[in-house]
Amino acid sequence: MPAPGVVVQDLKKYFYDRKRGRVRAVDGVSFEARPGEIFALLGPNGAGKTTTLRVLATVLRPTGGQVWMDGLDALAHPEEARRRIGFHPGDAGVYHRLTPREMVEIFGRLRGLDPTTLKQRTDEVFERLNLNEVAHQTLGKLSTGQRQKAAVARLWVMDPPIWILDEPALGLDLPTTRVVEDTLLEARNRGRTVILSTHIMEQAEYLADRIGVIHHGRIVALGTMEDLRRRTGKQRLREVFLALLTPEGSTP
Amino acid sequence: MIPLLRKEFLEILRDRRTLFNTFVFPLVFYPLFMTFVGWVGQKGQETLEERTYAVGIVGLADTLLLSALQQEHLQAVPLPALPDSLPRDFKAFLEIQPGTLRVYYDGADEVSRAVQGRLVRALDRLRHQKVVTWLQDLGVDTAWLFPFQVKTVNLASRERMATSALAQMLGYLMVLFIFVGGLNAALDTTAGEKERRTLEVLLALVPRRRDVVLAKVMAVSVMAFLTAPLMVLGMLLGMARAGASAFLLGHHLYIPWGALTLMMVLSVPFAVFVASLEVTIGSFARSFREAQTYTAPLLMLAIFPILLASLPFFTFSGWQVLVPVYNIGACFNELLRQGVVWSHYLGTFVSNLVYAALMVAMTLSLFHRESVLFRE
Repeated sequence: MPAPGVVVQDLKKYFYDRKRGRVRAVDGVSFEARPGEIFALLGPNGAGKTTTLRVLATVLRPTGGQVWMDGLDALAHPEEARRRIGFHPGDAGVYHRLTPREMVEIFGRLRGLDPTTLKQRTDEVFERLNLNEVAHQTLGKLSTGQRQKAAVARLWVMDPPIWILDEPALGLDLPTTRVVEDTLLEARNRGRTVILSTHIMEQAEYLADRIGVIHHGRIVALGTMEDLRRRTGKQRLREVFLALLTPEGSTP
Repeated sequence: MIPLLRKEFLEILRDRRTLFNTFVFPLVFYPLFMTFVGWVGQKGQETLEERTYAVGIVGLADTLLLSALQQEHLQAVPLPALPDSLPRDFKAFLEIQPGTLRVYYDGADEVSRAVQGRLVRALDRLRHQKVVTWLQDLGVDTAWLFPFQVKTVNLASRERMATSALAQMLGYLMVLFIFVGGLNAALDTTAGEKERRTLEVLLALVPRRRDVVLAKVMAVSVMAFLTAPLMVLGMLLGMARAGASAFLLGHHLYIPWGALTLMMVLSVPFAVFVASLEVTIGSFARSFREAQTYTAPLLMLAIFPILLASLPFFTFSGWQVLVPVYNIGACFNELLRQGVVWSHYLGTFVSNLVYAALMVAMTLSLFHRESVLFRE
């Protein structure tokens, strides 16, 4: 019986490209993310982070491998798996012609929340994220940071057991980044399983309980920050990361 | 499903492009356009009929000829010789030779063609007048010149005349507007959602992908369907404003309610078919802009069969009820020109229902294909 949280084993996702032929976007990725833990996938552009997260979000079907979510075989039962996850794509993925309040309410209803709970949670989350001022303006008119906060509010109101986030702080200023990070830390403290991808080393270092470094579709290092430091002999994550991307560094 | 539909409609009804295509274009722009075209056409016609034009005359013109030209608002200007080409001031020349009157005009110029018509009419009248005068001088009874009179009687009712005139455009435009009405919403809800990365959020949340697709098709179908009655309304408004006499009976605009109702019913499965087709096309594109490039050929493909169906010599029969798009255009025309032929009407309805079901099934299967939805 797989452990609670998310268990990924030997995940593969190949695409066919007319020019490049078969592309191994994800090539045998394995990791675990436990409840009450933030797991960060760190990797350069094109490493396979977004594809991995899309497979976990059941948006893409993998070519091979296994994914369990709280013991459920997510590939065999994607409809059931969707009831346990919330997905936050890059660029926030918000509806520009809806207001933050409308978007959150619609997604809350789609999640199956009853109207009373939904209203209560929305009020609370909007208050916490300081979104009330812009709650009734269309998202297209809001700043990048406010849109990102609205997207985080959507996830928080739905509050699924498993949070999957692709670059949640991309292009944000420091105060908004901090709001997003605090939300994720709070989700972890409530026992949620949080999996995120990021380019930002400091963010991974600040948030992640464990880090998986992905390169060319493979996990080249996995562990806590301390584990990675020990392995590379470097202190700062930036140095650790660069060292792991070299052929020598990626060999355990 | 209700939250999904709410989301789709909120998005659609706040999109300026969709609002323009669905409401502003048929209800405001189209009537104004028709009014303007009608006004320009009427003015142009009046000008062609009433304005006096100069006609160059080479040779000796007698007073009878000059009087005949005057009756047709043509001003005779004597010229010493025939010029090589038609100068700007003249719309035609008349060369007078013994036994022959030769009319020169510019066939590529509409005004010149009209002046040529007037000139020929004047000369015909003059010839007739001269023959009658000669015969009378010779003491011959001119009655034998007219052994019988020709009178025509139009048996069509005024209602049929009005619907026949309406049929020239209405069927064609209704089908076209159904295509245009849902187009923007379809592209926005597919290619637009892919571009904004909202589609992934939705697919990761809604347990059954089928529900996401059906909500999209339903919303686009409503927009496509809505455009048809709005367009008809806009067209009738435009005609009433333009004072197009062919469509007016007395002081009242005649509206073929029965035919229009049947057309609306037939539009339902057709709108679903078109909406599914547009959602399918939008799903292939990576961005809204790319999707727009796919729609130009779609509209061209749609226009050809409905244009064919609107031609008066095309008769709608038998197997033609199975030809998608063409069948709806032909059935609309038949309804307006001849009234309902139930076998054609039901055949068209059922075939559109089947095509709509097949197209929805295709759209559903497409939304399960990653190579289409997440084309990089």
